[in-house]
Amino acid sequence: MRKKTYLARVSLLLLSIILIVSGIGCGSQVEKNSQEPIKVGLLVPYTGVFTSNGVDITRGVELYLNEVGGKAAGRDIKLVKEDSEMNGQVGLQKTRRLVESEKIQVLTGVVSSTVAYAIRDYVVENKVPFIIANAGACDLTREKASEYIFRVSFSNGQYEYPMGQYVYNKLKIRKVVVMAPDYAAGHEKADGFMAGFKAEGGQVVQEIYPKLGTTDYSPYLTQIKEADAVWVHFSAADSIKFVKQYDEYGLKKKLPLLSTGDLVDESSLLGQGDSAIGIISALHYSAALTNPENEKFVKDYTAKYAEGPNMFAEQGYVAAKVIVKGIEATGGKVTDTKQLLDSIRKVQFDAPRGPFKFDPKTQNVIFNTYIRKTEKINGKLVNTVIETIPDVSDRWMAGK
Amino acid sequence: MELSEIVIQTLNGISYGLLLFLLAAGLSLIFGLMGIINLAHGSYYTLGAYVGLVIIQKTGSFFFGLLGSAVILALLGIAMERLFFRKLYKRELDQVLLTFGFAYLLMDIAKWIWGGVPRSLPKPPFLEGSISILGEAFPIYRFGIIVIGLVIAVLLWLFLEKTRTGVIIRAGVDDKEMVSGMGINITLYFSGIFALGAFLAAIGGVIGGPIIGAYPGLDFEILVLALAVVVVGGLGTLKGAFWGSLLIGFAETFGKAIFPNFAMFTIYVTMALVLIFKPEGLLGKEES
Repeated sequence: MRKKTYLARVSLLLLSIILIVSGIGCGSQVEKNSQEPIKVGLLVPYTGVFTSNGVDITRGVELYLNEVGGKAAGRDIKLVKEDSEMNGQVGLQKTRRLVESEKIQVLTGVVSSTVAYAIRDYVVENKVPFIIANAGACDLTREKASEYIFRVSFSNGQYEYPMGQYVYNKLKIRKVVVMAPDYAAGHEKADGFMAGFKAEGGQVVQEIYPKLGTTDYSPYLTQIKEADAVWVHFSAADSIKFVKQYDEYGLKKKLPLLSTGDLVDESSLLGQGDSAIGIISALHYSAALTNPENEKFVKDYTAKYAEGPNMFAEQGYVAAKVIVKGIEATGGKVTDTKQLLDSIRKVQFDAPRGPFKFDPKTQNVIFNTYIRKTEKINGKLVNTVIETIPDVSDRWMAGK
Repeated sequence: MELSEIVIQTLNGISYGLLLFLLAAGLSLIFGLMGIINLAHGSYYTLGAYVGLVIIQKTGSFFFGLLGSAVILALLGIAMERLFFRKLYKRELDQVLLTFGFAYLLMDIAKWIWGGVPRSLPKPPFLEGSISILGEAFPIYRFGIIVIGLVIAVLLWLFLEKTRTGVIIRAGVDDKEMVSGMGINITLYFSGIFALGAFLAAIGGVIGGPIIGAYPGLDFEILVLALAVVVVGGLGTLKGAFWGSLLIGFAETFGKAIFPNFAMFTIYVTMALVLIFKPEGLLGKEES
């Protein structure tokens, strides 16, 4: 017996020596690398209309990195931030800089799908794992899918489709008017909702697509036809203008307003005020979720930034966690891209939004969809969760 | 379109048009008198809305917000004119670069102070709610915009037509050299007109605030609209700004109503049509 353990110990020691020697043999590169920080590129808008989304994502990323002491698998993580300026060409230029000069190992961020499309080929050609923290264009994880591309946020239509079913089956609404801004995401989101709604037998009586960034919605509001409800997608500044004007024109009392979660994003509620009360929306997140991860997230976030988180902040937080968990599963060997991709694909954890995992086939997130109602509780507007639809994948919408 | 809808859309068009007038009047006057295309004009509007919001929150009074914001922005306008623009008369390209630079700078300052989250201004309580016109709801606040817009248009008209200052300003628009040749200190009027432009933009910002809000990026949206109004109406005339605003307001409102998905188009079609038939704008002065 003793001889056996002795032998085992000696062989283990020999093996270790061989490993270490071969490690040195492979070049001091490996050892040197492990001293250097792992660089993560963060590309989001810090100028322009979607600045607030960029800032929220950044805060989420930084909150998580802080939480793990800025380390993954014992190695320091250095975050390199760049401003995409919401422009495809600028985004591509900045990505080049991140990859070629900064030598980042992982890229995350990107609010706009236009920017995501613009950098897609470059990222894939240069074999940079890219964790999308917002951009929702469906094809990024369908036609244009790649093993290098992951998405932690949503595919446009992913939570709108089950919302369409919910509206028909649970709210017993038969006829809707659909409104969304006239750009790719607006159409894809509206299509997702309408597909789900029509699949159950619902009828869309009117579709209106105003220009993105419309200042005055009154001509559209005056035109809305007879229906049981109005479904809309508007985000950021547009969402405030729209909700206030919808109320102003007395429509709130006549036609229930249904929407994507973007419309009543926590950052918009303040500007919307009581006009937002009663809106029913679908999203993969609500700051009002009561799971322990979210309660911790909301508490830490509020303590650090003096305001509550929203979906973008959560997406940044989750993106950072995916990266850190992925690196940890490789034991810190980020230079082995294949292994890193493999590890990321398998990452699973409980996020503030609920259980998080990727669809291994598309590398797009699978999440719970929450149906929320905007309510005023203790003088504060919140999106109370009234129904949870579990495990919604993009393939649900694409017909599986 | 049913009658009730035509009536409501007309009211929508008038209220939107008069809001545009508050924006464009200042831009047009500054250009007319001083030859400066002030690309920071949209920033005056947006800053006006932010400053108004702060004052309303502090004092609880919409009226104080309106007045305070307009006065503060007028002072900013004077400061910018005295310190920077005065040195750049007749140097158009430099003016464009400088005012464009200011647009970025002012918005970065606004972003730094107020953050990127869109803000919305409260309505004065007595203008809350809506009334029914032929069975359709129309917000009382929009009537307020129509009234304020018309009052300001009339006051401006009286000021420019009936006061000595107004006469000098109008003369200055036509022939700057002659006015200064008569021993009138035209530079003082330049500062005044700049202050007036910023004052009007800020009023527009506060009045538009409850329905449009204030957020980063609004400055350029507003600038484009104001430029469209000034191009259509004709540069440098108050009347031009007034009718141009109403025309753009109507074009956009009815464009949205009739071709809901091509709204952006209608403004540019209107601009193109006006420019084809009257290259100097509806009421612009022909080049002599």
